Amino acid sequence: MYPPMLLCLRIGTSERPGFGLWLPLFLVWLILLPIVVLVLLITMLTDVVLFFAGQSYHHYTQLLFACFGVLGATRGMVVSIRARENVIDIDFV
Amino acid sequence: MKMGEDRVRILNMLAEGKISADEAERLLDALESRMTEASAAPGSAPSAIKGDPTPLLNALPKFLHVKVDGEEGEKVDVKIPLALVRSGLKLTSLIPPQAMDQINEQMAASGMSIDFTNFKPEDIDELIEALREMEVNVDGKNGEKVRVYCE
Repeated sequence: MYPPMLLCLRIGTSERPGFGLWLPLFLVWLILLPIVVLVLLITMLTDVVLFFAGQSYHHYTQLLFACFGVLGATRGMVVSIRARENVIDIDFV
Repeated sequence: MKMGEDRVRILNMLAEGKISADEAERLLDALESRMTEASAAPGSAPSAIKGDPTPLLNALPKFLHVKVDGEEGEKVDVKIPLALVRSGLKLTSLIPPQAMDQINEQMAASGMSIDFTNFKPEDIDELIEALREMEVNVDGKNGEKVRVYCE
């Protein structure tokens, strides 16, 4: 499952549709990739140490992957707000 | 239709990208459970899914909708993928016990005595499946409406 690649943000009023912004989230993921790899290495090392130390909890790597899962699952989420004056649409694509 | 054909059909749908791996897994589980029920019933046919399995697939909820209609015409519509709920619950089951104790304490202090340590990964699919039947309708006295449902 891939994380959302674009965030479509539309802000306007009930009379005027306003402007839409397509924010390229994939660029953020590319920037974060080296940090994520580093964190992944640290969690794997931590899990190995905790495992050999006999700790019952040694699932930090799994936890990290579950966080990625949550991030990936946000794809398809739509928030639409129609107030008396303002219209806001947020779409994770 | 034999179980093997149903299985091939589901796997073809997965290969063609019509369904996700997660949905394919649930369909295969449903197929197996139906086969078990069919074999348990005397004189039953060996077929698990008759015809196209798409209706069964479509029956699986994909989104949680929260719709709010305000008294002055305001509308809020939130569409949350159920995959997000599933991932969130899975994440909950992996939180370290010390952190989980603190979360439970804070939740209890806020009046929500839900013990998240009882969440197990194997219960998540059952919970999501049960959401299909859920529908919450709230009508306020000033005409505001809140509707929560899955589809």
